[in-house]
Amino acid sequence: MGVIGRYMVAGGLLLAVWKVAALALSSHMLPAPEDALMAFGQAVKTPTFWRHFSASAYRVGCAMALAWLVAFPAGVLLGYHRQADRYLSPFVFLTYPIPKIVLLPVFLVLFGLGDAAKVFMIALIIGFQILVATRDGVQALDRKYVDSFRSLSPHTGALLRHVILPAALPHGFTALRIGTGTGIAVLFFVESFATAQGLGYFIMDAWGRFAYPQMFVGIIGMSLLGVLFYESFNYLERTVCAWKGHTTGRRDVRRAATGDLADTIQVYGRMIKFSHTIFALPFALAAVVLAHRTHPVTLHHLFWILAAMVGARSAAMGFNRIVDARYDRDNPRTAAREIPSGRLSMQAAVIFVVVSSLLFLLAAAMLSRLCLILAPPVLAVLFLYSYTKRFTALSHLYLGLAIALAPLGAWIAVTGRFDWPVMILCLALLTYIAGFDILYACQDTEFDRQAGLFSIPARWGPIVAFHVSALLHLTAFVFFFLIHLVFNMGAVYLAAVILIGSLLVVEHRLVRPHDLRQIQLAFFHVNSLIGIILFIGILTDILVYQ
Amino acid sequence: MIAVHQLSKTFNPEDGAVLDGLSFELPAGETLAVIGPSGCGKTTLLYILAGLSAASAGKVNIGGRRGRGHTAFILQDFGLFPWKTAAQNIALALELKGANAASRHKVAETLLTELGLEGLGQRYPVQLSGGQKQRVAIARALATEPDLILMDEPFSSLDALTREHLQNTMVDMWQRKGLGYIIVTHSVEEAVFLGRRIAVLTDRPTRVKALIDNPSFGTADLRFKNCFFDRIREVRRVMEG
Ligand SMILES: Nc1ncnc2c1ncn2[C@@H]1O[C@H](COP(=O)(O)OP(=O)(O)O)[C@@H](O)[C@H]1O
Ligand SMILES: [Mg+2]
Repeated sequence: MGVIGRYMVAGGLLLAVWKVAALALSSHMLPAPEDALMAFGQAVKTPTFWRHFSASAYRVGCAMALAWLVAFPAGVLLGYHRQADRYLSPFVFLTYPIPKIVLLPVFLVLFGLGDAAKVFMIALIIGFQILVATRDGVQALDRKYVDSFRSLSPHTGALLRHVILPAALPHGFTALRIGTGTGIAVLFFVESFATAQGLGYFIMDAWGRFAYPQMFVGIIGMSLLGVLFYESFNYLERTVCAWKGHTTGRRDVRRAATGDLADTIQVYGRMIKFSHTIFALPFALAAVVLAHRTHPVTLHHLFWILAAMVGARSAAMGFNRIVDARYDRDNPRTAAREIPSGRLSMQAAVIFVVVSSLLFLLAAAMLSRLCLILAPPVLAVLFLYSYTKRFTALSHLYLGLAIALAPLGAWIAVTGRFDWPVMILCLALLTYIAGFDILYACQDTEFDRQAGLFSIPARWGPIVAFHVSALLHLTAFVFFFLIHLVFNMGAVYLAAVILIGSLLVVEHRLVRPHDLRQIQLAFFHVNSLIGIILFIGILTDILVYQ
Repeated sequence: MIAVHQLSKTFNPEDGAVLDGLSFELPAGETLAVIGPSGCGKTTLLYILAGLSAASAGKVNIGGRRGRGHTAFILQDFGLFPWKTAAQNIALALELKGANAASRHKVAETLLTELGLEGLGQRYPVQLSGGQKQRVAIARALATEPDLILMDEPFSSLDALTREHLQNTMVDMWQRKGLGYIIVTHSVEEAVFLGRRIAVLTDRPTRVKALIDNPSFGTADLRFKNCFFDRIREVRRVMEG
């Protein structure tokens, strides 16, 4: 599937979700996608829209160019020049965790209310990312490439041109590409006041006038701007770093290297267990829909619940990575790796966790006081998961517990209090995730045993694990059914429960204790379907019967 | 002619010397295989010979056609630059000298053909097999017109057949161009096939334990002859005794 195809599919899905959300909320705040698109079609024929669009494009474009021109060479210098790095890096890493956006007032004073302050603000934020990524990349370059080149030429200039620069470029470009999202977000922020130009202003202005379709014209315009920049950098990267695209050539790699790679993938597999949290999202949304019956949900709720989910999930995944990194270092095989670069990615991970946690706390604060009070214990529960697999085979249940906090949190966010019925939904999610995690852990049985990590398959073997998993899924099914009784659902939901039951049966038929080849299929298709069916079942049921 | 006299290298005084008074001589255009225990300082020796690192004491003399001889270095896994195509890798030395595109192209094509790599010039290293990559590395070394090629376990990650093909290629180059080389290896068979002389090194602090003469090296079907196996046994005995 080409780029266009992928965008079409993603766009289609997005529109579908939007449509459903618009129907569910039936609020002026969220116009139907076709209305918004129609308004957008009208707007692109007006010079006004393009004036705002080009003002924004100009600011981001200048900022990106400035960030690149300063930060990329600086990153190369720090990565290459040990002496410079020793003296300058502390400054970089001291200032790196500070949210640069807080400097905006200073910038406004220094550079005035014109474009300069906005451009510098965006450039500063993206520049940091480029600087750190580039330095990291250059430092991680194997010394032997440098030695190999030195045997051909003693000139540092030539070394930079032929070795350091080509090695640094992909890292810089990746940072630039990823920085697009941040750049657009900051753009929105800096354009939301003290200017009458740009898409940020366009959105805020429409919002102030309660012109919601117009507001969405601005939002679509801004998304388009982001996609435009992102794809341009993507294209540039693929052209300038053509060699990067050829990694799927022949596989005559050294034995040792492939062994290493397989190990890394397995370690990584353990690390990303938290990817299961994605399956919690439909459950949380289902809780929102259920709560909506008694406590009307606003766009404000929805937005901050999603933000909380993203924050919590990122924080937990990042934390898990940090914990496992230490474990990596203790391992004699990986201990020899470049310590500086290891420490650097560690620093980056710490910052990532802090920022994500702050997002989670902010979202909780925006939701309610109760949510804010509950948020820190929730983070503690999530972080603790990373350790459970080291001392108990019940870590699967704990993962289920951690993930089941999502619908509970969403419920409390909307209703403002705890109610027993929502526990049924949480228990359904808990048992369902735990059951699946056991199946999934069967892949790592050998690895876990060697590494001394605890899991049910590692402790009692895959056959027992399959039985436990089946039992848990049976329990999950009972809870899914109980939701029907407790929440007075209708026939549509019952149909969804039956579908979920059959999917669980399919999942257990797809994988066998000694044949795990289908596990990825089970993972992606079946599990994403179960959550979505639950959500759609509940949503339609309520739309139909209430 | 290469003369190494009382060569010593110490990285950290508390770890003791790595190389400790290493001496040997090698007439111009002759080939030497260096074999010794892992970690004894073979790579360190090559780095010093290549001028990439300085000796702590002792003298190295590499005679060349013009003054100090010019060496080319072939590393085991990291020799080729992944961001350059095979042809660009080969022509890199010429590019550094400021040769124009046409002459670079010509030299790259000639060397590609010479090493049996026709049509692969536009590929990136990841698109080549292990054996092809080392052929490109040899071609790049040849493009620098060296007086001496230094190789650090160049073939140790290749399968047996590819490795023998490449050993034949090296002998072939030596015969046609009179180009001497020093190869570091941990395979006794490789040392006996490729080295006119075989230097067996001791453990650290490292000296030359024995310099074995090996006049029948590199001859056709040597690998099937008794003298090949006799020599292998001889080297083994020296290494163990
Ligand atoms: N840059 C360096 N700094 C400190 N010690 C080094 C350095 N390079 C090599 N050594 C040490 O010198 C010894 C010989 O290394 P090397 O020449 O790579 O051995 P070989 O190639 O024979 O396996 C090893 O003990 C190694 O730890
Ligand atoms: Mg070595």
